[in-house]
Amino acid sequence: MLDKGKISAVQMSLLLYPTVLATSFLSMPSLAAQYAQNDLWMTGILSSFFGLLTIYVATRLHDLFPKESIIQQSERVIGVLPGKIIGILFFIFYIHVTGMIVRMYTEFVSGQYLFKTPPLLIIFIIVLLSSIAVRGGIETLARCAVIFTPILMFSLLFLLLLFPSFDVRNIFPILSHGIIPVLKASALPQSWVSELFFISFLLPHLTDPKKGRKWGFLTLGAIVLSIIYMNLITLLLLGSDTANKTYPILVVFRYISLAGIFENLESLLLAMWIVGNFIKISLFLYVASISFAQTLRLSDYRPSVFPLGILVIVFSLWDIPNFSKLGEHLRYVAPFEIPLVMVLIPVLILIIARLRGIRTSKR
Amino acid sequence: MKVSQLYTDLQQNEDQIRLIYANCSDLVYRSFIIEGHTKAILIYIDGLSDSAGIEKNVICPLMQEVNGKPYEIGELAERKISASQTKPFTTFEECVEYLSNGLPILLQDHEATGLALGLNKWEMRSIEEPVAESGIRGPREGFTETLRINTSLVRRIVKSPLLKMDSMKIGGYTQTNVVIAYIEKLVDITLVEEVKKRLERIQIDGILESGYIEELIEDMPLSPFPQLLTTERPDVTCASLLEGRVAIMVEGTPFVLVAPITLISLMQSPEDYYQRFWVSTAMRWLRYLFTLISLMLPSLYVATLSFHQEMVPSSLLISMAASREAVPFPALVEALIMEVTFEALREAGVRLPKQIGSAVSIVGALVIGQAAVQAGLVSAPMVIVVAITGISSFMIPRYIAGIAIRLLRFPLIFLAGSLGLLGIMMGVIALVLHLCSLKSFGVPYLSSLTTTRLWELKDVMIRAPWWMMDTRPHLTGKFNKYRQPKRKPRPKRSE
Repeated sequence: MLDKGKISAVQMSLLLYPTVLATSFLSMPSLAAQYAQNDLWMTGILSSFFGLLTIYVATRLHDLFPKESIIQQSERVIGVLPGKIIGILFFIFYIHVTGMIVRMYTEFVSGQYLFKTPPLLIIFIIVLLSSIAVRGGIETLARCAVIFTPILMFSLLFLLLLFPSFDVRNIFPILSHGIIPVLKASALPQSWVSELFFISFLLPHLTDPKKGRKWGFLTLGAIVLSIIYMNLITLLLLGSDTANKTYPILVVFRYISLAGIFENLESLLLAMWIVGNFIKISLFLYVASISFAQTLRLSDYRPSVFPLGILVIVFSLWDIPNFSKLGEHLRYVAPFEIPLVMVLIPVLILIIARLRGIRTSKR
Repeated sequence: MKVSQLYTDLQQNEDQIRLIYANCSDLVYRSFIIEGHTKAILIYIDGLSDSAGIEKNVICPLMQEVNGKPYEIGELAERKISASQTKPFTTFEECVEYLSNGLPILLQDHEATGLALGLNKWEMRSIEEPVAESGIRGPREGFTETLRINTSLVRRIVKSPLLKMDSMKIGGYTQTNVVIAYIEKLVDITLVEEVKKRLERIQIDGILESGYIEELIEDMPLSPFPQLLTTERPDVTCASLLEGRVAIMVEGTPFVLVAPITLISLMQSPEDYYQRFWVSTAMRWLRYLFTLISLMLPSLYVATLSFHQEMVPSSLLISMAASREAVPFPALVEALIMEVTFEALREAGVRLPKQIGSAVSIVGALVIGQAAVQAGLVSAPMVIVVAITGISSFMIPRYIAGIAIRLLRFPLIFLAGSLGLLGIMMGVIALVLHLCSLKSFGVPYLSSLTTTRLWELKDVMIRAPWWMMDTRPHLTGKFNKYRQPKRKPRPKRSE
């Protein structure tokens, strides 16, 4: 193995939670509301399907080939050359998605807080820190996650301070437009949840791999609950206006005012946004570096981390010309692109493995 | 120096020793004749040996003239010399070693064996209250500069023979005695091996304080955080030994090193374990809070004033703006001026003689506090921020950890002044990242904080009462996991 670090199942869970939620949660309610309107809170429930599927596939593959990631597994199942092509595809895709995440992060920070700071500086610092974290190995990443993820989760509880302003009537009428808009709206959360496929890269590091599936599903449960929670609070507070906001969660945080002291909590939001994204970008970069090294059978993944970081910066700047194009990409491309790589390919590999009759590992 | 045997001729031996110790005026050579027939010489270093004891126990009985056959040197030790320890030796190297440790040596004519006598005695400080780690409840003994007193203080607490004390000498010229103490069957023996290996690697000319050793054996020498605990309290040392850690005691300093440690070890005060657990838990939380304040408050203030004014409630913002109206500097410069001044005052307070100490506090309180605000050089809120920060850094029980945190404040202030809240978060992430990758003798520095076994937090988030402290810390005390059988807090009804 390239990285000999060991993490516990709980640490894996704390790594995966921000990896799915950190970037997307800010604009999630409005993107969902554009299709589902006042039924947007249901999208969370429906989106869990792909999560269940991807965790199941990843853990099944890990049962067949323990201690290996999808890159090595695909080489074993479909042969070396096709396996390499899949590996290169994964690697390029991960770099591309990391670039997108960095861009979303930067758009929020420079658009809402630091108007005059050059975006390149904001990009550079976070990618530099993430690269250093990735070079520290999975144990360092996991320890960072144990410290930062609770901050992210705990900050979400502040939304409960808005309780007096909730208007329950905003939920009704339920399903007035039928189920189709809700299904359309859940396409996007589904794509995020399918990022849980990263469990494939973490399972080989678990001290107790048997707990992997259980904690994977628990993570999914926590994520789905958080999505429902945030969607519901936004809906109860903003009602039909949700769809018009760029960052509805930011609006909701600005709304908080308690006893004249607890107000303007958007700085708290910035803090949790930064730490959450740090974990997310680091794990994406880690997975990208590992798949790069495993595809090319390098003896160490660390020397390639900084060059890949530069590649991420380039992708974050060149992929997307401006903010509206980013929104378009999120709405129309991402829901298909991410599940294609994260769910469809692994499912196919598992089916082929089944058809070829591979039941247990050589070991 | 190559090994050379003693001669049988006394004169030759004496000449050789005089040659080795040429120009050393503190050596005393006392020639006499044993029982009227054999020439002998007693050599010792003045001030390191007990001259009254030498006179009474060695010279006096030996010089009595008795008729009989002359004794061998071994027999002399058995029959005539009433010193508590005698050690025979045959080489000049041993001779030099005994002499420099204060042991008088006795050489006899026609004998190639000398005798070192356990009559070393020198002036030493008595056991006093530890200065840097004072507390209200708990033992008031502190270590001293003498290694043997320190080991005896530890041995007096842990009486089990499983407490081992391996010794080695480090330093080309100082030949400093270093003792590695651990409790067998509690400690991970590979850890002891690792400590010894690292100590043996040291090839410095002299060790004057355990700080030398600390910097020479730590895992990440460039880190601002101490990776070994320094303590001058025997109870802290013994508590660490009981948790499966290793203590390194060095001759000539009251500061004992303990390894491995975690960040939380630096936040635990010995008193936490002696007073009621509710109080200790509350104090611990207060300490954590003020550690964060000491690290971040000035930078948060600068970031708020320079970038995020909207974060402050408007009534407070107005009063803050009013007080800053006359101040000519930006918040970043103002904060730096005040913080640097405070650090200077603190450092001066440590160095100044006691008589002048009060002058510094007057200057600090009046000139830098009130007068600077009245002159419009700094704003009053900034003085408050700096004062709170300064006080809070002293909440950290380990002085050295407090200094590390105080120093890290400055990069954070710079980051806050240039990038606002984003800069602070980046600094905090970088700091956490550094702490996450830091290790102390193979134990992750944050292991007690980032563990996912909830019960490991019993001595981190709270201070669990002693009847609940049934296990040792996971990473250091894994060989003998249980401190005590599980028991209930309440005594049985019948009792």
